[in-house]
Amino acid sequence: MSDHRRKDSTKGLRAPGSGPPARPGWFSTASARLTARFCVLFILLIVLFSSITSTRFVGVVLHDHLTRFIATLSARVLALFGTALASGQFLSLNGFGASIEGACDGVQPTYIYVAAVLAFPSTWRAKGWGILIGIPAIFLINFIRVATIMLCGAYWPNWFERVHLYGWQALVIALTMAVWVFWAELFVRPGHQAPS
Amino acid sequence: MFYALSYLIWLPVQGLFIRLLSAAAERVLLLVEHPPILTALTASGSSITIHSYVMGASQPLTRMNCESFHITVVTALALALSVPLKRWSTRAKACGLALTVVFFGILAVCVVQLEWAAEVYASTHLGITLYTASEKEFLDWAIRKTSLAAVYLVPAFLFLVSYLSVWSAPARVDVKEPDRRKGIAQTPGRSFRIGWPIVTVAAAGCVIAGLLLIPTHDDRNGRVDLEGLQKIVTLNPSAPRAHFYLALNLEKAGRLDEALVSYQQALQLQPNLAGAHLGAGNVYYRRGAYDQAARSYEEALKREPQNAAARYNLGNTFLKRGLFDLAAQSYEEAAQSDPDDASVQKMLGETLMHLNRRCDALAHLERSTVLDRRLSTDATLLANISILKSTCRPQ
Repeated sequence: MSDHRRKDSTKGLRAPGSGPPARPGWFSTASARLTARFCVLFILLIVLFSSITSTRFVGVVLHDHLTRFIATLSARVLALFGTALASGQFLSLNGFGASIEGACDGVQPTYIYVAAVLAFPSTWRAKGWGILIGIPAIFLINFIRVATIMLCGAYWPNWFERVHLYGWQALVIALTMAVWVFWAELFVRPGHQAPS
Repeated sequence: MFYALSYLIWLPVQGLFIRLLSAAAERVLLLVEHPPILTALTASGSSITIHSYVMGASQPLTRMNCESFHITVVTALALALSVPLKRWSTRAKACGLALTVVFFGILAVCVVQLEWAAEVYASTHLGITLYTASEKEFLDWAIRKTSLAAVYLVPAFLFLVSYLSVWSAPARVDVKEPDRRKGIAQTPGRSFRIGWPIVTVAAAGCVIAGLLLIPTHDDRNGRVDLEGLQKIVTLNPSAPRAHFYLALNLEKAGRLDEALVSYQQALQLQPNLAGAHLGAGNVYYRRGAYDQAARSYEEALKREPQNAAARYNLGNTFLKRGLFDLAAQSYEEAAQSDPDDASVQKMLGETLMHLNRRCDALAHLERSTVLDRRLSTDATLLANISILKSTCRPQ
């Protein structure tokens, strides 16, 4: 089976030294197959995670507990900068109050990251490391996001909306991708990916 | 750095992007809404104005700010630029692909958000709902999912796919050039082919062009869909405004009997709805029932004494019945309520002519031509002014 595949992937190529190789056709290369497999797996995993995290049970178990935890943790750190209080998912710093909503708990970037790690052609060991390193990293990124947004709201309220919507929304996904690149470069080296 | 660069790319094209988005969303709404509720969209700056017939007039329903859409575009562009591609031309192609895919993602978000904005406006300001419970449930779900997809998923997906293409490139190079395998493996992306983005961009371009080719109605700003209004009445049977808006549009369509029934239903639910009294009066007037029309206008004026339209229409009923004194009085009151209405000034002038108050008539007729330039070419009006000028003898 693997021999057959290898033969397909080199179809249309000439022997070295016999002139320029023929241009591979659409979707005929190993690279294209790899990309297609990644796309399909990634989308399937996203649909799966999205469905799971949308359920009422996960909503209560994961989102509620996570937002409360982030609020409590943020309040402890923000106490260094002023009077910080946390109550449930509500957080206040020097009288500036905000609610940590479901979309701000970092679950969405996390499952995008996990889907990317699982769908990427690599060994299970590498995937395990990816999940083990990535989830805490993204949680940290989200925690820094919440803390800086609160600081902004308390000390520079005019910048709150811009930092919240324009700055951090883009940064969260950019930093999530940076964590993924870090994992891919460190744990999955070129030439060592699993065969397509 | 790429984030800042993306902003630099985005800022000059923002207006164009929003206009293109508005045009495409208008066509998508035409395809997905049955019966259509939102009939037209117009873009200005970073916002889109929603037009609908539900209020019974061709006036904008509400406006939606689309400024936040730039987050998706800028993020996707920044991530596309950050893929380690050696040639800038390849990066430009990747950005083109990102912009194209993002456009479709934002289009989906835009369509559901426009429908939701219209629904929120109608429920809070007009007391009616535009969509069924299941449609609203779907919109709520779609807004959450499409927003997530547009802000996080689409930029991440594009980045990952581009990165993977670069990553897996050495496998192909290995077969082509085995002697240089080692060197190339350390610099992924050198031989990255990006033929597929061009195909995707071209296909997407065809879809966008196809969308824009869907014909729209010339009078889409004032387009009325009675089926849509019937749906709104069915959804809001106890909302007087739903019946009122249906009646207004039925009246416009010349279906006077049905319009009168709807006005009466609106008045049963809310007897002090002045607009419905005025509308019922207009139906009676068009049928030639001037006494009933006058009674309806008087009912409207009891609720809204400053309603210039009701005063003016009441004056018309007096005029039809030959009661010039009462007509002049009504027109004068209407002119006091709305001194800049050319029609009121003209009718008042003509009525005063009948009453032989020539100088007063002249003043009002001349004012009407000042207020509405189109009247300055009205031959009858000009003749009357000319006669009055020659016969007016100020005391």
